[in-house]
Amino acid sequence: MPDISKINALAIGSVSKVDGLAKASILDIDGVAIPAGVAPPLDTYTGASAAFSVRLLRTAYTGDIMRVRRSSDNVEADVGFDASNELSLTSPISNTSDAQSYTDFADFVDHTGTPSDAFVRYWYDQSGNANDGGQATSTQQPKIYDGSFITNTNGNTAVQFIRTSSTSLSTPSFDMIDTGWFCTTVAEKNGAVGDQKYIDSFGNVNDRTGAIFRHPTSLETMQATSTGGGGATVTGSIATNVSYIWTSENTLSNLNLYINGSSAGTASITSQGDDANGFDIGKRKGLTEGYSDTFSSEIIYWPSDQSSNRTDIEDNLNGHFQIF
Amino acid sequence: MATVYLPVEATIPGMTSGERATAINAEVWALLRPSALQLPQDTKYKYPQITHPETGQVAIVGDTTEQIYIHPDVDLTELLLLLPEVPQAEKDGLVMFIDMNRGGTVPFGQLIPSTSTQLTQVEAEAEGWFPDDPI
Repeated sequence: MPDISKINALAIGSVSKVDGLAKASILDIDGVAIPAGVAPPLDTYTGASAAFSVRLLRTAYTGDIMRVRRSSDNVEADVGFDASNELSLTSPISNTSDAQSYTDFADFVDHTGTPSDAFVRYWYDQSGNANDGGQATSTQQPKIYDGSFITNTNGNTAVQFIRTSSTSLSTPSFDMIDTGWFCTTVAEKNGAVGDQKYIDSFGNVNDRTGAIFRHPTSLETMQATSTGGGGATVTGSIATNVSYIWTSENTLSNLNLYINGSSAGTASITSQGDDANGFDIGKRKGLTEGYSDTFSSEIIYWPSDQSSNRTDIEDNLNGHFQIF
Repeated sequence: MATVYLPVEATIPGMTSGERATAINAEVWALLRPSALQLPQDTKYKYPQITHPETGQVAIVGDTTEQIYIHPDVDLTELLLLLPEVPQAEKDGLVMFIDMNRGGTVPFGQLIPSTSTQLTQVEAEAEGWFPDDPI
């Protein structure tokens, strides 16, 4: 039986009930199972130390997605998950700085009137460790909404980091290397000028893991040594304005880079960097340089070797974001 | 957009350049959103700051053409205390200017004291404000 795209000329996505039975209650049609939604990845792959997304990453997480500032009057609010556990116009609003109540995100930004832009004050960490990515300076907050939600080329809702605005988010300090480290992200480079660091933990003192992802021209991941500089570097090829799932892993012996699930290269690690303390998103850690033009929909970081789970984790991200 | 670099001198006893710059930056943000209305998790600063790699001095990186909203409930007390080198007549003029524009907007450039050093991007680069990337 071929895939069903329409019933009596009505698009299948518009069908909410069949003979009064809710669509969610239909388990199969003529023996063909309807695929379930993608489960939050951290329910299965535990131990992440920082996790940011526009979707729910852990069922037990009860916090919000992000805290935003609307540009019209600088009122700030926490934005939660909609009925589909994602960020959308129907996401609930709470903890507003003007003590007002809003129906949902659309109401908060006046989506149907004269919409206000919205910028990210905090991208909340869903790992349970409260390693939120924050930016206290208004002009350096990345953008999430400008009349509609920011999206990458693939159509996924994304936080936009803008090089010329020096936007970035910084996490607090946390333990980054245990049995290695593993970081995966849904991201897109949309600028091609200069040294651009997307997720960086290099710093300028003795707190360096390395440039987890940077894209000066191509995509690179770098493991620093304990004395600084690049102990190991892997470079892969990416295009501008194309969405990818990037994965970088440190197994203590090797540094590996994967792009859309395929290996982009490997390098031997002969000297580990110091056990670093958090990272910056959108620029070089701790310094005012290396700002990047990047769309980011999700970042998950484990301070451990997840190489045996890599393909399953990437499948989870791809199952939700449909990147490749 | 007209970027301006405003190096902050450590002229207040007990405050470093960085501490004073951060305090001034917070008071600029308070023009838009007074501290009494801010929640602990809210935005704190209006503009980026950079640190000179050799001297450690901190500069606020502003935009002279940006229109700054002046909240009707703004209180200039703390900001004026952070500007001891500014002549009293200029402070009085700033207070009058802000009072006239409560609820409106003013260009940031008109809020910069005459005593403040203002550097362009080229001038800031020439004075060594931008460190090299060792990676």
